Amino acid sequence: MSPSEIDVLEARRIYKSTGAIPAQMLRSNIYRAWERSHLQGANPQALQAEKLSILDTERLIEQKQTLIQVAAPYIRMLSQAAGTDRHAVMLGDSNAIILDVVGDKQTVQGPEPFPGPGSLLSEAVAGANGIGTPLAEADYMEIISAEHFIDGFHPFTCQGIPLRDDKQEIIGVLSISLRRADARQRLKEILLCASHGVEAELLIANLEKDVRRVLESNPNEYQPLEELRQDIVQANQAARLKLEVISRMVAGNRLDYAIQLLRQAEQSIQIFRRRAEIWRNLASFEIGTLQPVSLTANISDLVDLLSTEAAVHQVQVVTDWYEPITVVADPRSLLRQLLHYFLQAFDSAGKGGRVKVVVKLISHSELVQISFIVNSVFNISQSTPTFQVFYLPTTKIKDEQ
Amino acid sequence: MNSNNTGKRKILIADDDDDSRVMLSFLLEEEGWEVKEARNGEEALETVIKEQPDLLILDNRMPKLSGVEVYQRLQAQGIKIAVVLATAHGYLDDLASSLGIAHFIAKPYDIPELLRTIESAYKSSFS
Repeated sequence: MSPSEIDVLEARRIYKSTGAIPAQMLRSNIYRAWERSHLQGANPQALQAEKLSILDTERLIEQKQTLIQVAAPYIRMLSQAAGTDRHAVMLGDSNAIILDVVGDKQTVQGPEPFPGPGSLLSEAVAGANGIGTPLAEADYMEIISAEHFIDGFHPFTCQGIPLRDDKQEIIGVLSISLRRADARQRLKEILLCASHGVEAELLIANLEKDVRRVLESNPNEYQPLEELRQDIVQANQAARLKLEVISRMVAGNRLDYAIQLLRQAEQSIQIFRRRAEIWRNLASFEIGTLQPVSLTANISDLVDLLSTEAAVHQVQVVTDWYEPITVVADPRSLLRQLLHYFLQAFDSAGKGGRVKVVVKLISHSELVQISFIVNSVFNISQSTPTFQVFYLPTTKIKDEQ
Repeated sequence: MNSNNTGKRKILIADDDDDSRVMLSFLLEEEGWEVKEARNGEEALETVIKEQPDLLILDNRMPKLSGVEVYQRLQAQGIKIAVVLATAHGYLDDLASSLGIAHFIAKPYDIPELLRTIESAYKSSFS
């Protein structure tokens, strides 16, 4: 038993006998969790969590069906990664009520009462735990055995992370509980990656809604946006497949390759998120206000977003500027305008052609010139390729000195 | 189409996304399939003819022939092969039914669901 575990057991003994929480014997976030649990009246002697009625649980599960369905594949992959270790993977809502549990048979259906759907795991009810505490801290948390506030949870080491929507509001929590404390480290990174995977899936559901909205109100813009959406989803598909492979490798103790792949999976999710953000601006009909916008960054983002579209059209895209350039524009209108020119340029270039985007400041003026230069295979030897040129007012970032 | 020199069932993955193709190959090999890959529609068509797989997992958005075009060319050439259309197409049901493809799955898909669809398509190819 390590000194810190002895400290936690001693801290429990002191708390139970005196009601005082010895701060120096606990990790700071566990101390905070115990204090919250104590102040809200949780009972440290409790052996199991309280539950909603069957009817209320059914109602809640019905309400949270989307979240449950979206998280289900990730819960399955986490459980797969835990392999034969005794474990339970849980999905909770934003009030720390369990919505779904998957794990080995002995843990989930065994004689010891493990919290199931409808169990209340807020710190106020169940004290510090792997569902309620990540929600209270709004961050990833690990609660090791006796650090749990109530006695009934001590056999487990639990980790949990809040799930957030696209507005960064917490909508739930993903958590894994393991009997073997040393198994937790190999699952931490997968848990974090899986939580980002769930958040990405929720974004996809929003992209679907955007597509339907665009189709209803502006059918002319629908097709290119729908195709871009498909390309964006591909990044998430790649992440999901990587997580599937990772979970199998971790279960089989092939940890080195799994760790490399985890980095890649996280990267794929980040790519998906960034592209989804750009896409949402493209699909938005809102008119923004004029403001400084990085023109060159916007063009780079679109080139990235359109990489599959360019490959499908077999068009090479080249950009050309000396320095990052900022213009004054409505960011959404600018993005849509650029997309429009790109798609026109792809059509004009045709199979095997090239599109070059040149951005340059016009000397002695406050304007930036943006040129879409198109070389199709038919005009590549001609001296005058096709042009699309437009101008935007520039802004110079003032030196802070 | 059924070529079984190795005794394993042979599957072709046609997808332009390298990561997805490589990961899916790994998973399907673990499931006992002999896996071939194609990075675009043209390669898919060539590989079907050359390798004669038992089943084709077909993405739609691909360079050098889309999945739809690949499928139509296979039909036109009278090549019978079990196909699972696996794409992020917004109206996948409509697309699949317009082509007469019975087995399809929307991206992002879950592996157990894909495996069930593959098995179902494979079994149907004998009936």
